[in-house]
Amino acid sequence: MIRYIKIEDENKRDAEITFKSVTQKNKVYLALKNREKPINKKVIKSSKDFTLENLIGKTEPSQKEYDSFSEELINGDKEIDFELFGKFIDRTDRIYTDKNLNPVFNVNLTEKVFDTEGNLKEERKPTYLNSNISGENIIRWTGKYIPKNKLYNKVVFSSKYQIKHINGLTFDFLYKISKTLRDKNSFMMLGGGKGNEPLVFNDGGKPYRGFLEGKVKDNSYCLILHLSNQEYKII
Amino acid sequence: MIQENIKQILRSYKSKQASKYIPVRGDEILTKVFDCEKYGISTKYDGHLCFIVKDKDKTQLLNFNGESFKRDELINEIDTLVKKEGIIVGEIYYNNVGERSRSFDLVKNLKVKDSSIQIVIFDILNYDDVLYENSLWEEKREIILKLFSKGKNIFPIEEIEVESRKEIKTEFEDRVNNKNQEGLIVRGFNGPIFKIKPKLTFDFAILGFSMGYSDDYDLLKELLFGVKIDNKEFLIIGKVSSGFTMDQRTSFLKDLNRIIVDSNIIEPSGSKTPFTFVKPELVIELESVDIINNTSDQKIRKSLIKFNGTSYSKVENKPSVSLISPVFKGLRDDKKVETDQVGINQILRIIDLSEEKEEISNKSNSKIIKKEVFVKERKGIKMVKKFFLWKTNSNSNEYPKFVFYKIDYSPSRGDKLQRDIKISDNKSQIEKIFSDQIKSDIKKGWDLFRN
Repeated sequence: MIRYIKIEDENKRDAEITFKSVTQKNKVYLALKNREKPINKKVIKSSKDFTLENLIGKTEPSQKEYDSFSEELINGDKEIDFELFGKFIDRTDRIYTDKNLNPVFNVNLTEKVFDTEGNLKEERKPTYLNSNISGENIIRWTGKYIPKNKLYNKVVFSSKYQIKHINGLTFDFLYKISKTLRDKNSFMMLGGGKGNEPLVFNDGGKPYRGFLEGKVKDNSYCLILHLSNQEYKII
Repeated sequence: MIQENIKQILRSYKSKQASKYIPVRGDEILTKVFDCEKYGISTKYDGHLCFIVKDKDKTQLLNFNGESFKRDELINEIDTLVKKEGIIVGEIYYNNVGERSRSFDLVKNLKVKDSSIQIVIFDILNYDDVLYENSLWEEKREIILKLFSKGKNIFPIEEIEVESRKEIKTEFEDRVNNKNQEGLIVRGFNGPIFKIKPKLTFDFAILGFSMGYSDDYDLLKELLFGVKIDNKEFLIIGKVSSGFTMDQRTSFLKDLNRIIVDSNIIEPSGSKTPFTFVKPELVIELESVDIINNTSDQKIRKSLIKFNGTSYSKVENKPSVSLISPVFKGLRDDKKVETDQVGINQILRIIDLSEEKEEISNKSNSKIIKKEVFVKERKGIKMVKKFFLWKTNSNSNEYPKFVFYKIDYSPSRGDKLQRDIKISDNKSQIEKIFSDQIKSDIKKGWDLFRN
């Protein structure tokens, strides 16, 4: 899907342009003997009525009950629904359930922070981040050039978007940005919101640091926005 | 018989194409259409996407699922116009002279022998061994004009060039507002393609609600809405989460909590909780950019539900629609949940919801073909491995023909009951899966249990 954003250049001038994710499909894929691609299908493997606890009939069975369940498996087949299991299913949705796998209609979300030993350090309300790249927001040019040879072992790039022009004027605008970055052999760190915040692409989404990379060849340009939410650290 | 690779090309075109168009409402042309140097404008035809697939042996007219449109006169016309192999894309529609094209008119008239069915061509994937998928529109247009300009019922899309968004607005006024056409397709030069349609407004019955706006589960997140089909039945249309003020996200809850009712339906909401159902007595007004009745690979079907005065139950899945970018506009206190006020007619006047005849699903009980149970005993504790192979005895495409199933139970293990499933339509393949699995799983110490 094409989305549009406003992006700023080094002279603090902004323009509305589009961006889209860059995904390269695998050239090598699993194929059938006749060279056709296999079709993936989801099937029902089990259901909540067939959990071990439901089959035994206790929420928390004792070890003795688990041990004696072997006999039930040997002598009967009540753990399988022969009419349901194997049935194809289409789209599925995820919902919260209680520990008995019954759906719950309202929840309270908390974020638990554990220390390196696995002990609970803090329990807090999770922070909800609103998107800071769309609408009136402008993605700011922070002025922090980071040479490519200095960034490669600092952060992990998790995804990337291609930034594209929408007309001749924005072509010139983005071409110039690309050329500046190419000439400096550097990434430019971009900021959302007030200018120095990490970029949040969707409401409720994760914050990412954005690094803009520019390439130029003859009269064409390629502008890639790399995203990162992980840093390399020496242990 | 349509080749599977052709089917994949058609389906993939449909899904890729949908993401290329930016939907814009008629009243948003000046703000949402990008400023481009120039634009190509054409009228949007309301029919079905169709593909002309010509190969050495035959010419076919297919929809995105690879199903044929059976119109011999169009096939004959294609054969006179198109001489080489290729895949060409257009919209097939019913030519209701002087009136706007409608997809439901096409459905009604496709089987009427002398009805005027036409195709407007707007894209080309390949022709005469040349791939055009990634070519510029100018190049494609040249080929399309060359092939179809002499067509009678199959012709190239007519496009005019304009230079400003104001001119697009004028064209929209003329073609859509005055001449009642469905909308405009606007191709920005060096830019994206916009699908411009008038805004759609509906009144629906509120059927449920969910909490969790901005992960705050004290705030209303979404409303579930639908149309009233008859005295007790409702067809679910969708859910709406935008357009509410923060005040409304709390104040509406008082009314909604007052009318909560039971249901045995799990209708998932965007906050990963099922919708809480309410008595059908409130009416909302919504606006949306577009309405669709199928996804890239199938007809949209949603729950038909029944309200018996105290609770809801599911009746079946029926053809329904999805609204694109629905926005809540307000509660309609002046309206009642009656078929003439929140009925299905408001959908049917825009889009077809007829149910195609489906293969009657017929399934008798599954038949176990093979079953083997193995037991291993250690310190008085029995571990069990069971292997099944059954025939589903179904003639529908909801089931595979054969199922292999494995149970691996160990009372002393963390994950005590493990399951595995494999399926096949080929008996010898599934039998091989069955015997290979036993061979790899059953080692020393496991004994076959004989009843």
